Amino acid sequence: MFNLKEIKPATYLLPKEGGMRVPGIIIATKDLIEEMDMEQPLNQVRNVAHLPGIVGYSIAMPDIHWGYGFPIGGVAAMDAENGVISPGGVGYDINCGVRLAIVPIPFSDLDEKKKKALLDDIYHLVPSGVGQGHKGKSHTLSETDYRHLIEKGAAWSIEKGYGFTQDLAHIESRGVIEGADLSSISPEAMARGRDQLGTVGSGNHFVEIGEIQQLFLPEIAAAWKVEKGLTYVLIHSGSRGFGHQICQDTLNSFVKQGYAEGLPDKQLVAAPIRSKAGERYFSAMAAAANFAFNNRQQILHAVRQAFFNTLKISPEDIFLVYDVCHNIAKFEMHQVDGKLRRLCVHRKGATRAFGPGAEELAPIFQKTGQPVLVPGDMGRASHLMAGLGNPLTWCSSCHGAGRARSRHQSMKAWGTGREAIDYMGTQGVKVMASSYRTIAEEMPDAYKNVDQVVEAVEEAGLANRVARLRPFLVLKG
Amino acid sequence: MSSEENRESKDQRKRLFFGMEIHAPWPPQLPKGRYLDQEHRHLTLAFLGNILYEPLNALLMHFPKIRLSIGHTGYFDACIPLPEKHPRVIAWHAQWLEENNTIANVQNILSDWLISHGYSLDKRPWLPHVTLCREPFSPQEWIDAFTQLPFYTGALHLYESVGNLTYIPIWSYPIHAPFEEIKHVADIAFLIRGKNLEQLYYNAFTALAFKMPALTGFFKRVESFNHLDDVIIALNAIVTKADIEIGTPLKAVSFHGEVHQHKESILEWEMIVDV
Repeated sequence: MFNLKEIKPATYLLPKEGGMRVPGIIIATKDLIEEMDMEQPLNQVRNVAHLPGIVGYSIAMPDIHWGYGFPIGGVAAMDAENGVISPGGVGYDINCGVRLAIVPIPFSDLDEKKKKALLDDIYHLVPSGVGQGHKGKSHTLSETDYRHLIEKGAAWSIEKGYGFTQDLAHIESRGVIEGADLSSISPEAMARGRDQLGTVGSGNHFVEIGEIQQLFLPEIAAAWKVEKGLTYVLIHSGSRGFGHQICQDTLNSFVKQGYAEGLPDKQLVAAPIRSKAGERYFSAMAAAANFAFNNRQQILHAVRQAFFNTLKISPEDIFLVYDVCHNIAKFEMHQVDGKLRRLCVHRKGATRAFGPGAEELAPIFQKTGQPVLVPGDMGRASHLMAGLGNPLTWCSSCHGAGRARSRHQSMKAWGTGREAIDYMGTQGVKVMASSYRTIAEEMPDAYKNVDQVVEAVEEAGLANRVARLRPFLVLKG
Repeated sequence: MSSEENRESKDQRKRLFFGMEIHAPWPPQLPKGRYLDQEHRHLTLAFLGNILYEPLNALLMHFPKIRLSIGHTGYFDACIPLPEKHPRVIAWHAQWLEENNTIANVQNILSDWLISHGYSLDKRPWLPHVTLCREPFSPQEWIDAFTQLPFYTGALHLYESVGNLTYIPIWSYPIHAPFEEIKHVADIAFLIRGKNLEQLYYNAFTALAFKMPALTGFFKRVESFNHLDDVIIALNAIVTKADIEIGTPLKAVSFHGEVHQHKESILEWEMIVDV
């Protein structure tokens, strides 16, 4: 039905047809394609190819699954002059992303008592769950706070004492997307985010502690101070209600202005980048992205605090490896037909994977390529990879394992969630969450096997595996 | 009448009433009392008492046209022990989302039809309510535990009360459900039915409230809609307000799908919800 043709290892061409302006590219192994229910996500890859100004290909990563408008695991680059920007190409959770930090002690040093105390303390310090924010005025953002944090990005939290200046070089784009403007933000968006900085949220967001289990590229791992057996912290969260409302406000506005007309799916609604509507969305999206960088910065601060409280490990000793965005639209320069062009690269459920030499990267990563963080599920593994800067995907890679079951299906399979906690215990994983339901929704069998996903990424030449991470303590939203 | 005929006549008497099925996300735990099981909870429209079944059965072929093809949505807004002075039952009062009195009109039409055929009915004004339990119970405990809950009406039945809080439908007037949860690759999806865009809005709101009953406190009535997009925007405004005030697992209703006209002029829309 889709007539996929393998053109390179783990790379399939989805031929152009109908109103598609460009063909599609699917990064996957044959096994993944055979195992996946591809019909709806591939239809979405086709739909994205209809957008004005799209350049190259409508691209799908091996963790692709159905999303709102764009598939999750989708990449599309638009010409910055003649193309469009689509909130559906970024997602509701703007700058949802992942950060990885290393704790300089072997995980095996933690006995059961310490593990429990650590997880309890993180649960106490990092609010999680539906709509959960910090209690008390000290965590409530004023309009001035909003203005400063969206202009400065993660540096704002560091100025306030949440982390260290050296963290900034280890955050994509140094933790700030330029161009954020508070006047583009609705009062509802500010109200939704007001007490949510430093909170995990619900759904698939988490804080995970585990062990560096296996090294694939020891030299790169050593350059990043990642050693086998060390303890790691992985944080997955985004812009919470603030970013969600910005996406919603923009969709409402774009639909009302008629920007969805002629598109195969209304949720793909997109405005010209160089229109007032497009510029307004970009500035609001940048604000949400900067909120998300601050959110992850403050969550890491709380986790550092928990390690100090329970194990007397100094916060400075817990070093940030990297922080990546995986729901974002960014202006980047790329070679197109031998010429350097400015593109607006939408990555929705996809991670930037700049290779060695990329100018934006800090010197440490210019030698190795940027770290690409690929969280799997809470039972099996997550991966740390090194970007290769593959031009076919606009230097992009996958963002996770990708769902194999909807949340609804997973909840049906695991009932109340109590059994799920017990099952995870038998696998050596302690899980805490504000609701059993979340745990049932997030069980490992709800996801594809992340090992297969990263193998496809490696085979296609997007990023190389550096280390495999094994989770043991998990705080879910 | 011989004693044998008299016994036969008694045997043919049944304790009957007309009522509507009620569907709601019933709380798993309620205060103490002799509960009606979920499948027996109903909205009584006309109580007939112990009457001969056969004459009524013959009359049912001429059941009045009630112009009700889709169930109506509403929410329970109060706990009302009945009767007020010495309560024997705990009931929840039904409040409708639409202001058009459709179910009250159905109750009127049905009552008039029954009276015109010689049946005597309760003359007190109709109080839309659903009985949850019978005594013994503590009224205050039920009042204190009450929280608003959405519901919708299902088929209209002639019920037989067979004792032990059991009510069996013996004749039915089918009515389409205002929404159904459907399988979809998205997290949550519903097929929403309505006669017009406003009804789609009310019924979609109720579908969302079935997932999160506290949403009923954020319900907002609307005048009219010109397009499905306006329905989606209005639903999302409710979700936003609820998220700001109490937090909600429902993140947004997607700009997805078109309105399709189904048989009997029923509109259908596939609503998918981000959670």
